[in-house]
Order: sequence, then C-alpha cells, then structure tokens
Amino acid sequence: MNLFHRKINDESFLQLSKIREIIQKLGIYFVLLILIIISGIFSPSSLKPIHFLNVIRQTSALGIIGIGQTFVIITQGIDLSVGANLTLIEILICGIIRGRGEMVLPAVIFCLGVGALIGLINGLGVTKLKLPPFVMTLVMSSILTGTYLLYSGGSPKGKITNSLRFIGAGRIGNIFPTAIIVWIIVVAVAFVILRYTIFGRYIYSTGGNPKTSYLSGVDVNLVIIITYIISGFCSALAGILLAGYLGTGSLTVGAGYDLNSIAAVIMGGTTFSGGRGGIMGTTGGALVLTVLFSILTILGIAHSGKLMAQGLIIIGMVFLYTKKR
Amino acid sequence: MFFKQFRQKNRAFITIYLVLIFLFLITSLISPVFHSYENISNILNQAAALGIVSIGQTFVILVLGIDLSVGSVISLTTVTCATLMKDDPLAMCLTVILCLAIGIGIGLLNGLLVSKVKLPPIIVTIGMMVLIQGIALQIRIAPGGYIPKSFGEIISGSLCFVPVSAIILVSLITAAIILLRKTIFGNYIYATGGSEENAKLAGINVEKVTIFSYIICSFIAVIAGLVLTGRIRSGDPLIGTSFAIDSISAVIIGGTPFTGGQGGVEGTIAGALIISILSNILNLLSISSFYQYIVKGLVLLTAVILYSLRIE
Repeated sequence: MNLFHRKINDESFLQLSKIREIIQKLGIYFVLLILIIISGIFSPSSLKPIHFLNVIRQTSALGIIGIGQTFVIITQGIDLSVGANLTLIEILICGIIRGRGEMVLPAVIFCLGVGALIGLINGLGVTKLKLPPFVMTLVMSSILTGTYLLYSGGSPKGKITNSLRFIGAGRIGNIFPTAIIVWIIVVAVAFVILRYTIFGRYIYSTGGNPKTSYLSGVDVNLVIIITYIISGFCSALAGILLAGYLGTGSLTVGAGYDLNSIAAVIMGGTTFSGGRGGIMGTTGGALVLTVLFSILTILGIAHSGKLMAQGLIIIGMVFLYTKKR
Repeated sequence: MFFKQFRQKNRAFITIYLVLIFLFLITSLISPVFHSYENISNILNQAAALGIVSIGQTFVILVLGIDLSVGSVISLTTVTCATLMKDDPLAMCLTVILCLAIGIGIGLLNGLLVSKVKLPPIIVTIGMMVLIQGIALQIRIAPGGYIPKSFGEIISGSLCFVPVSAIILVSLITAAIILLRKTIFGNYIYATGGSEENAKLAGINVEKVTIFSYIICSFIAVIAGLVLTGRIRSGDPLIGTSFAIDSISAVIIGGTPFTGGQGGVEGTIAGALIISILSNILNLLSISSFYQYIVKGLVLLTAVILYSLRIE
C-alpha cells in the first residue's frame, strides 16, 4: 500500500516537474508576447498580421545563424566568425551570379560549400590544434574580413537574379514571405537532428561531459567538427537569403550577427557549460531580439540603444540562467 | 653561470626578443625609410597605446581570464573626454579622474561577474564590450568634440626629447613588472592562474585576486584611452574597435598562454612592438590595408600553434 502510494506521488511529481520544464522552455515565448503587447501600445499598427510576417521575415537570417550557433554552444564552443562568414558569402554569391540565371544553382551550391568549409577549418582548429574556440573563430573572422575586402576591392559589385530575389524577398501568393519557409525548414531539420537522432544525443553528451562521452565510445572530435560545419553552413545559408533580399553585395551586412546570435542562443536557455538547450529556445530568442530592436527603433534610440540592450541581455540572461541552476 | 641561469629562466622572452630584432632587421632591409627617425617615432607612438592596453590584458590572461571590453573602454574614454573637457585645468583633471573611476568601476563589475557569479569571462566581457560601445555611441555618434590644446600638448609632447607617451608606457611596464615579480600580489596572480584549486588551498583569496586583475586591466585601458585622446585631440566612439583582438594577440605572441600562470609583461611589450612593426611595414610597402586583417589573423594563429606545440 505504502509502495503504491509512493508511486503515485512520484508520478505526480514527475508531471509537476514536466510542467515546470515546459514553463521554463516557454518562458522566452511569454517574453515575446509581452514585448509584442508593448510594441502594440507604442504603435498599434505593429499588431497587423502583415507586420508580424515582416518581423518574422526580418528575423529569418538571425534565426538560421542562431541555430548553427546553438549546435556549437551546446558542445561548449563558440563561433565568432558567423558575421564575417555571412558577409563573405553574401558578397561572393552576388559576385558569382552577376545577373546570370544559369549560374544560380552552381553558385548556391558553391557558397554553401564554402560556408561548410569555413566551419570545417574552425572545427579542425578547435579539435586537432586544441585552440580555444573563441581564438580560432576570432582569427577566422579576421581572415574572412580581409578576404571579402580583397575580393570586393572595398566596393562590392554584382547582381542577383529574380529567382534568388524570390527566395530572399519574395512572397508566396503575395502574402507569405519565402524566407520564413526556408527558416522553418532549417528549424525542423535541426529540431529532428537534436531530438530524434543518435547524432543529436552525441551532441548533448559531448557538451555535457566530453570525457565521459569519449570513454563511452563517442568520437567527440568528430561531433565538435560537425557542429562547426553546421554553423558555417547555416551562416552561408543566411548570407544567401540576405543576398536575395538586398540584391547586391554589402560590406556591412554581417555586422552584429556574431553577438546577436550569441544573445539569441543565451536567451533561449542554452548554457555555456554545455549539454543543455535547444532549437526552440533559440528561435524564440531571435524573435525577441528583433521585436525588441523594432521597439527601440520606434522609440528613436536606434543604434546605440540596440548595442546597450544587447550587452545587458547577454550579461543579464547568463546571470539569470546561472542563478537558476 | 649567471648567464646560463638567466637564459633558462627567461627562455620564452629571449625567443620573442630575437624574433623582434630579426623582424626589425628584415624590415630595415626591405624598406629604407623604415629606420628613419620619423618612422621609428611613429611606430613608438602607435605601439604606446597598444602596449599600454596589452599590459592590462596580460594581468587578466594570467589569471585564466580574457577582457574583450578594453576597446570599448578606450572609445568611451575618448568620447567622455571630448564631451567634458574644458580649457580650465581643474575641469581637465576632474575629467581624467572621472574616466579613471569609470575604468575601475567597469573592471570591478567584470571581476565580480567572473569570480563571484562564476560566469564565463568571454561572455561577461563580450556583453560589457557591446554595452559600453552602445554608451559611447550614445554620448557621441560621430568623431568630434573638443579637447583643449594644452592636454594634447602634454600627452603628445616630449620631455628631454623622450615622447611623453613613451614615458607613460615605460613607467607602466616598470610598475607592472615590479608588481608581478617582486610583490606578494604578483605571486598570488601566478598561483591563481597556475591552479585555482591549489591557490585556494594555500589560503589565497582567489576571487579578490581575479577582481583586482580585471580592475587593473580596465584602469590601464582608460590610460591608453587618455593617451589616444591626447594624440588625436577629439573623441571617436569607434577608435577602440581593434584593440581587443590586437591586445590579446600581443599577449599571446609575447608568450603568456591562455592556460594562465605563465609569462609576463616583458614578453607582451615585444608582442605589441611586433604587431605595430608588422602593420607599419605593410603600410610602408603600400600593401592594401585589406591584407592587414589576414596577416594579423595568421600571425596570431601561428603564435598560438607554436606555443601550444612547445608546451606539449
């Protein structure tokens, strides 16, 4: 009888902790809701559905980069080269296509390959040369910056085609932005990888405790390298989307993406001690950042206010999550 | 006998100074203008600010930390000075004191978050970097403002043919070397960086040592900011952007590894000079400044790889 009683208690306790877990996971979406209400108070027109879709479209590049960053941060790394990677790809793809329709597919494949290669080099530096991740990726960022400046000669040229413009800036049926669909696909694939595949479990166990994972037969180095490749690939994809949106090369397109992606990941509950966190949190974090920035723009504190908010969010959120544990 | 001991003790520093001399000779051969008086004093002027920041960065890296916020602190200092400074000497002094106090405050905050709350140093100082950059841009969105002529003359002037900025640099180096090598606090820093656990067991207040290191770093970054303010005589909210990565490079090239507890300021200065000479020679050879990003990255990468090979 006693045993039976205890079992029920355990089950109800389990349910309770599950509810708490869900609330914690949804926390970022509550914040999003509150921010949307605030922006509605400041400017009622921002509550129109078309505006919502616009905000989500604006977030898609950051969301996609954030997903790559999530993979890296779960395995206790950090990727500070995403912004430079994105800029390089954005300039590269415009420079390669130069308005020629037949070049679109090869250029897209080539650019995704370059992004993945950058990730591969980052991963090799971190695992084989045992460099601290932020040094390796900071160096990579510096080298990539030099590369795109040299490639473009300081003034990027080139033009994309209508097909790419449709992916970056187009709308299906004149309503639903195509970029959002790309983002949703990436979110879904990443979610499935992390949740339902063995590789996903390897990623979490590598982040949680690299030594134990190594001893239980996980090729830790390979897992880490693949996370950096994913991050490089995601940055390249975001670069292609932004190329489609802007239509031409831009030297400043990647500014802020390093820090914004880290902020989004942290807000989403992925911790720097590794092994925790996930895609849905990061996605919420990216949306919160965009809505917050649009509120700051409405309030007329555009650039400096955004930077201050970024800094406070990064420090504050890490502080909160550390306290919680 | 003495020489041998000296060599064994300072092997890393001897190597880095040999590299520096080698680089100096090579660049003199490549470009005849290089060792002209004007160019050398130009290099020293450029190296002064970087050298000063790197001294502070050394303290933080010695205790297993990193400070990415130094660049923003420099920018904040220049815009604060350009906004508050007046011709009257009292206002000038008060502004300088205010800037130094701000530096101490920022360092204290960094140190508390890293040591007491146990947050990763990279994240704390990245957050601080962005936050302070935002504040600097809020104060002054574009370069400008007013810096009294007298302040500029004090900083960029010279005392008995020695530039004042060089005097500041040398006195800071001396102070740092004495602090690190001859005082108990210096021992504590090396002990904390070497093994935090052992240092704790030996009764060292590790948290306090870490906090002090971050305070020293930000304080010295403010001094670098003041030197720059005197030189350019205006406030520029983006002037510090490259100082974070450059100062880290100088420390690493100078033989203080990320694993902490080793190295020191002596090597860092050589590292700062190497970086300044490299960018100077690239300019003299009129190589596109775009290459500098690549060269800087590769130099840092090479240094990190070489040092990690030697440790193994």
